[in-house]
Amino acid sequence: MQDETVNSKPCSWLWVIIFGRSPRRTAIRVVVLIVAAVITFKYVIRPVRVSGPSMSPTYRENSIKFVNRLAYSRDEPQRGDVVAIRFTGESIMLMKRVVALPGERVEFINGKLHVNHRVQDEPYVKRPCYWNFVPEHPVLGPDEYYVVGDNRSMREEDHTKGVARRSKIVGKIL
Amino acid sequence: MKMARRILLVATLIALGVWLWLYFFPNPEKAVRKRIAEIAETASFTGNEGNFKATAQAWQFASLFATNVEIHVNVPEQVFSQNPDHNEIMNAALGARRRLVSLKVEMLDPNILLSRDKKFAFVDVTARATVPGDNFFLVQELKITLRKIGGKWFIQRVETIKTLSRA
Repeated sequence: MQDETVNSKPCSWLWVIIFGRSPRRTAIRVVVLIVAAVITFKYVIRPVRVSGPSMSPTYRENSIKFVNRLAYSRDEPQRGDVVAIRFTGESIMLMKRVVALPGERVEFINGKLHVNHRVQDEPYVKRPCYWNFVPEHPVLGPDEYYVVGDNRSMREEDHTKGVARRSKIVGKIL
Repeated sequence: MKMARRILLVATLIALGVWLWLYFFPNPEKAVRKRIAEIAETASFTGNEGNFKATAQAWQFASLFATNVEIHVNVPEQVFSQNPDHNEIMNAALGARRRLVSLKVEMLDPNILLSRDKKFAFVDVTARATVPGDNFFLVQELKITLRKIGGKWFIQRVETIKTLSRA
């Protein structure tokens, strides 16, 4: 009887470590944890990996960031927010900064962003910019936001920027 | 026991019938989805394929297009509309193989809309092209129109879509 107790001790420890004192409770906890993780990462915050240089130096390439999908459930995107914009789905998204809001007029003059003919202070733009252009549709519609990356040292033609409809904005980058 | 066997036999026959029906008459949306995956697969290539395989793959890629296909490209510094024939598409695919060591094409998040008569499918899809081992990648939203000809889906029109635009 004593032998049995001595022999079963390492096994029972292992059992407790893996399954806990009450395996049934542990199973329930695991299921709850999995469900909570799936819901959180699918509907609340979504991890994304940064690819491409358009948001540098604010966000480095290959860094992992999170998109808060609930950020705009009550409020609308604000100037300066970094947002995720979907393509046809959410497998790949664009990461851009909102620089102009619905109804505003946008243009770039001598590398400076002008909104409604006023120069904007953009502390997140660290590199020199020489862009000079007026977008095809400079005045934004009622559900349109003008988005652009922070790396304005790139050639204007190589930098993806433009009008994002509200429905395409998935959430705010945390 | 006999009854149970009969029920099992009937159930098996029904399952086989459903499987055969779906095999020969697949759901159009599923067939389009499969075709889109096929486009990505045949557009991709690795560096270690021989000349014969490369030509066969390029021809297979070209054969996915209808004979009167329309291609409209509008990306920075490249705006063109073309109606290439199968030989031109094949030559373009072979040209890409000569210029790049390898290429991986993925068609992500396809949104499929079928016409009422189920003869046309309009697909909005995000195409991603990467050169394995290189930092180069290209992401482009596409609108692809497929047409059902002789029970098979062929690419009738390809158009690039500007994600950040009013259109």
